[in-house]
Amino acid sequence: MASLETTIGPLKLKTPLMPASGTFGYGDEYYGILSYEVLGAIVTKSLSLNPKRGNPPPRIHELPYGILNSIGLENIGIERFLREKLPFLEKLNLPIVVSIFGESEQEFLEVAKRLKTSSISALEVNLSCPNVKEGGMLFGSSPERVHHIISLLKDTTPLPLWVKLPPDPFHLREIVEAAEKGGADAVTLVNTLPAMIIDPHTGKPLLGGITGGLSGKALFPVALRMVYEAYKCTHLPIIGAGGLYSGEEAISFIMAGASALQIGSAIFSNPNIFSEVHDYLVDFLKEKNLPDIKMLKGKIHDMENFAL
Amino acid sequence: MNEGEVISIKRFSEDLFLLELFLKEEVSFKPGQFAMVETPGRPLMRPFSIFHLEGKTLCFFIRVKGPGTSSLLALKPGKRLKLLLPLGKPYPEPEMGGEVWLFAGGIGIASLFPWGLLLVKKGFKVKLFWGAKSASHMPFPLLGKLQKHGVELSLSTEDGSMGQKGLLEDIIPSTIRAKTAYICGPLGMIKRIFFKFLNVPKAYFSLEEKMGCGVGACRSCVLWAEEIKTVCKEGPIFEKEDLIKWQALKQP
Repeated sequence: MASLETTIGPLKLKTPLMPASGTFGYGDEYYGILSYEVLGAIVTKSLSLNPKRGNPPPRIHELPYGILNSIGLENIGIERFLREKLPFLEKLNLPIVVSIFGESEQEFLEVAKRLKTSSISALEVNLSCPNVKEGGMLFGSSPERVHHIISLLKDTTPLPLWVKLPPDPFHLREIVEAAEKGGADAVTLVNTLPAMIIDPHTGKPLLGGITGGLSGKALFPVALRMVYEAYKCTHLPIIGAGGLYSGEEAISFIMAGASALQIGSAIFSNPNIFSEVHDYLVDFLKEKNLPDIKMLKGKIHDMENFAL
Repeated sequence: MNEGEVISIKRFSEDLFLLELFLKEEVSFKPGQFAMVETPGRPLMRPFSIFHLEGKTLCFFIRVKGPGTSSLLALKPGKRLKLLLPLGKPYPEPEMGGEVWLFAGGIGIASLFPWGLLLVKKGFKVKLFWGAKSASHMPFPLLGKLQKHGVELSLSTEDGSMGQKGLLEDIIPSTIRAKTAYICGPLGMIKRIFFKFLNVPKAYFSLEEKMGCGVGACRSCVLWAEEIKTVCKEGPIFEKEDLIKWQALKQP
């Protein structure tokens, strides 16, 4: 069988597939329901220093082309995570990536400090949640703040830092470069797109948080283009995320430059998605007679010298 | 994950149907539990109470509400649907003897039908209050089966075509004699009738909410109270004590 192994900085993953933060809880909810065998890592829901209530319901709204959510980073806080959730994750024998969030730089640093347990493989720094007033998007849309917070985190934790960025199509280069200069080990592109929906019959927003984040099919071409552009301006490994629903889209992300992939919304219509994409990748490599998935990485950038 | 192949779709009225599936893997369930069902072409699976399950034959009793349920109504036999089941907590058994009263608003019958039949089998005296839109929303085979098993029925329809004319709340007695009550129906109805059950020693409410994952991972379907609980994982059945601090009760 061809190799699906990939590396994100110092971290080796046996497959490039992992859940997108926020869609997979703390990693235990889907155990026994879907196959964890095909995952390369687990990515938790974003954790803040103290528990957070999140936004009032309704928190989810379905559209034909995607999903809007305004969960608002509800989470159990770092202490309960370490006590109640981490012991289970440690038994999975998979790299554990903990997504972290803070409303201030101080909170980000404090969360990182408390996650020094050796069983954690990397921190994904959520600089792009559209659903909270403080932190979130505020950090991820300013190159100066991205640089500042990542360099502070770098001095605080020895763990690799993956920086999860918003789908800001106009400041991509500056922000990715800022993350790299700050000492990031990888970038995750992209988080959900800020969005909203109104019920014209009641005149009310259909999300409790009024605005939310758009994920799902509509996001895929936006995310793909951002991975493509980012690959041209950074040496950092890129984790592609956004509207990934099929093996074809997984291959597209890799060709655009992604080293690994996150699947989120697709789980909600097809809990078998990880296995299906995994099998597609294996078959694709076999059909094209390629021994290693890494041979496809960034190939769109080298079109003259590459044909399948 | 499980899978079900469509055996048949039995339509009872314009917007009411029974979806019968043949399961790939046999599972068991307890009344009150639900399944997440793939709705072809839509981004989210839909939660439905398990209406009937015998061997590998699984039935959902579904009311067409939007694009998801419409897509299911349009299915042809042979189509395979992805399923997660059984999910959520079932109706807890009555802790006390005596009569057990069930209250179903419209399609809320989907979870109370198997529960009523099971309670009778366990030796409880069961009375069902069921309010629906019209007689065509109370399929005769269901009424027949409930009666045959000795469930006492009290019915209401909005147009008066079956039972008393009016809403479910119009047939709820001012004194609820039962020591245990189970209530399932649309959120609006539950908010309106909740306070009638404050003096019932044990009252259990089955709630519906828009869901993302069905397993507690996405935190979409929360009960917004002092302590946040998910309808999919910690519910869908809640005791009245859980709901007293539920903020939705304060909203119209």
